[in-house]
Amino acid sequence: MFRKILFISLLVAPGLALANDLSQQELEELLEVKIRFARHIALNPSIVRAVEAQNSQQLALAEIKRRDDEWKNAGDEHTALIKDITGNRVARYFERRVENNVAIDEVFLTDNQGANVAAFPPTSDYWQGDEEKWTASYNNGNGVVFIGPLEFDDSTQKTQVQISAPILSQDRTVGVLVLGVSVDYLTAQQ
Amino acid sequence: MFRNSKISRRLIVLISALTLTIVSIGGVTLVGMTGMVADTKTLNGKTAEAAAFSRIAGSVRYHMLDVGQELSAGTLEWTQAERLLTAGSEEFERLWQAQQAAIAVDPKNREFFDDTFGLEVELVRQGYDELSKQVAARDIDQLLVWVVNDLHGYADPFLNSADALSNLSSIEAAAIYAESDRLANVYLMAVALVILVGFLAASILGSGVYKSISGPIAIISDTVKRVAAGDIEARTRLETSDELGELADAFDNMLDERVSSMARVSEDNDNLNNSVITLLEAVSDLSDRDLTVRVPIAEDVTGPVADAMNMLTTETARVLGQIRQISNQVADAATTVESQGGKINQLADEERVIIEDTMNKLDEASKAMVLIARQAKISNEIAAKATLSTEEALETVTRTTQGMNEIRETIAETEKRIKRLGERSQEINSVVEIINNIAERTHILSLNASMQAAAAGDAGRGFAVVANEVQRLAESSRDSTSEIAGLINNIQVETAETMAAMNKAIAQVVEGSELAQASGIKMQVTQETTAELVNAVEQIAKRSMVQAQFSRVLRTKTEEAQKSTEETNSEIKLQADQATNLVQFSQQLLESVNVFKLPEAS
Repeated sequence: MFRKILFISLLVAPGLALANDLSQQELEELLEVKIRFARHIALNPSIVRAVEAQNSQQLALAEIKRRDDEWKNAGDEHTALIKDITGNRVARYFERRVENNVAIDEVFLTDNQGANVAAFPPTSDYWQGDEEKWTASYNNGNGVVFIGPLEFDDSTQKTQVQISAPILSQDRTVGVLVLGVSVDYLTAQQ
Repeated sequence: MFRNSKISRRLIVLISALTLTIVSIGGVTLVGMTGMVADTKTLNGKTAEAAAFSRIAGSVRYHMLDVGQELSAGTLEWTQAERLLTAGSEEFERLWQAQQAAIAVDPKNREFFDDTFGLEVELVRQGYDELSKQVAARDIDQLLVWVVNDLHGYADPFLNSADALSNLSSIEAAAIYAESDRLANVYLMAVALVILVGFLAASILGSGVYKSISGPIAIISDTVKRVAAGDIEARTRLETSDELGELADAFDNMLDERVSSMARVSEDNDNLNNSVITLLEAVSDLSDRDLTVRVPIAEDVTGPVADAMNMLTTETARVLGQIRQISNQVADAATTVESQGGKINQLADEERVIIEDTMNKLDEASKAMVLIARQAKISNEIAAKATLSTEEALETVTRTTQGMNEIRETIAETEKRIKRLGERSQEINSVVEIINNIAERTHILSLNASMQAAAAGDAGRGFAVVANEVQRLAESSRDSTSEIAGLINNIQVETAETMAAMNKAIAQVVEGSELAQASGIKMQVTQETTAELVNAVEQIAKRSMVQAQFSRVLRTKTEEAQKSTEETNSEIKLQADQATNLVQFSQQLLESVNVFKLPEAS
C-alpha cells in the first residue's frame, strides 16, 4: 500500500504541496483510504455509464463555457442545470456518500472535457477543464490520481484537500472524479 | 598500493570489502524477496477479496434480482421465492460477516469498506426486506411495478460497488504486479550492480593486496635465490614499513652480518688450513712408519688433534718398543729351548741306542738262558740218564757182589760186564765231558752275562745276580763234572784195575767182591753225586728258566723303557719343532716391529 502511494506520488509530484503542519508523507498516509475510495467510486459502472453518456453528447467547448458562465452567475438560485447536475441519480449517490461520510465534504464528476456530470454539493463552477485538479488528473487521456493542495476555507475554518481520480473505461480516461476530503477530520481521527 | 599499512590491515580491508559485498548482495536480495513475498501476499489477499465479493454479488443477483425478475416473469412460485429470499438473506449476512471478519484487523480496510459498502449493504438488506414484503403480499402487479422501479435501486449499488471493487482490485493488483516486477528488476539490477561492484572492488582490492604482498615476497625470495647462487652483495632493499618490510630489513641485516662474518671465517679458515697442513705433514711422516715424529701443537682447533696424535705416537712407540724387547727375549728363549731340545734329542737318541743295545744284549742273554735251560734240561736228562746208568751200574755191581760167587761162571760175563762198565764209564766220561763242556760254557756265558749285566748298569743288576748264580752253578757244575770226571776216571782206573785184577780175581774175589762192594758204595756215592748233579742241573735249569723269565720281564721292561723313550723322543721332537716355530714367530714379530722407526729405548 505504502509503496503504491509512493508510486503515485512519484507520478504526481508536481501537484503535491507541503501542508501547514503535515509532511507530504503524512498527508499521503492520511488520504490513503480516501484515495482508494475515490478510485473505487471512479470504477462504479453506473458512474462510468453516466460519464460516457455525457461524453457521447460531445458538448462543444463554447457551450460548456456558456454553461459555466451561467453556473457561476447563478448565485444562490439553482438553475435547471444546477438542479440537474446536483439531483441526478449519480448526484444522489454522491449525496448519500457525503451524508454518510463525515470526512467527505463533496463529490463531483466531470466528463472528458471537464464539464460536470454530477456533483454534490454544488460546485462553484460548471467547468473544471481549466483547473489543475482536472487537467492533472485527466492528463490528456492518461488518467492519474491527483492530490490537490491543502486549502484552508476561511468561511468554514476547515482545511480541505481534493483528490482527483480518473474515470477509466476500457483503458481510456473518460472523465475525472473529484473527492473533497476534510483533512481536519482525518487528522482528528489519528 | 597501501604498502605502508600492515598486511593484517590490508587483509582485513579486503575481507571486509568482500564481506560487505556479500552482505550487500544478501541484503538486497533479502529486501527484494521480502517485498515480493509481501506483494504476493497482498495480491493473494486481493484475489481472495475479489473472489469473496464476487460470490456475495452473485448471491445477491441470484437470490434477489433473479428472484424479482422471475417472479415478474412468472417463472417462480411465491413460496419458492420466499425460500430463496430467506436463503439469500442469510447467505448475504453470513458472507458479509465473514468478509468483515477477514478485514477486521486493518482499520484502514475497515474504513474503506465502510466508505464503499456501508450504504450498499444496508440497501441490500432493505432490498431483501422489501422484496420479502412484496412476495408476502402475493401481489404480482405491485411486485412488477416494484421490481421495475425499486428493486435495482436496492441491489445495484452493492453490485456496482462489488464490480468497482473487483476492477479496483484488478487495477491495484496489476499495479502491484507491475511495481513488483519493476522493483524485482531494480533489485536484480541492484544485485547485479552490487555483484559487479563487489567483484570489481574485490578484484581491485584483492589484486592490490595480493600485489602488495606478493611483490615484496618475490623480491625477498629472489634475493634469497641470488644469495644462494653466490651473490653476496644481493640485498632486498625493501623500503616498506609493513611486516614484509621488517622481514626484508632483518634479512638484509643478516646478510650484511653474514658478509662480515664470512670474512672472519675466511681468515680463521686460512689459519686452520695451515694448522691442518702441518698436521697432515706430520701424519704423512707417521704413515712412513716414523714414530719419532712429533706434531707441533697449534693454538686452534687442530691443537688437541695434534696433541692427541703425539700421545698416540708416543704410546704406540712405547708399546712397540716393549713388544720389540719382549720379542727379543722370546726369540732368545726360544733359541735356548730349541738348542736344549736338540741336546735332549741327542741324549734321547743316545739313550735309545743304549737301550736298543741293552735290549739286544738282553735278547741274547735271554736266548742264552733259554739255551742254558735247555742244555740244563738236557743235562738233567743226561744226568737222569747218568743216574739211571749209575743205578744200573750199581745194580750190576750189586749183582756182581751178589753174583760174586758166580764170578767164575760169569767172569767172562764179568769181564764183558766190566768191559761194558768200562765202556759205560767211557760213555759217562764223554757225557761228563759234555757236561763239563756245558758247565764250562755256562760258566763262560755266566761270565758274559755278568759282564753284560754290568754293562747294562742298574737295569742289569738283577740279571747280574742271576748271572752270578749261574756262574756259581756253572762252577759248581764244573766242579761236579770235574768230580764226576775224576770219579769216572777212578772208575775206569778201578775198572782197569779190576780187570787187571780179574786175573787175580778168583783169588781176589772176595777182595774183588769187597772191591765191588766198595765200588758199589762208590756207585752209590756216584749216584748220589749224580743225583746232586741232577739236582744241581735241575736247579740250573730252573734257575735258567727263572732267569729266562727274568730276562723276558727285563726285556718287556726294556721295551717299555724303549717305548717311553720313543715317546719322550717324539715329545721332545714336537717340543723342538714348537721351539723352532716359536723362534720363527718371534722373528716375524721382530720383523714387523722393526718396520717402525722407534725412538731409542730409555
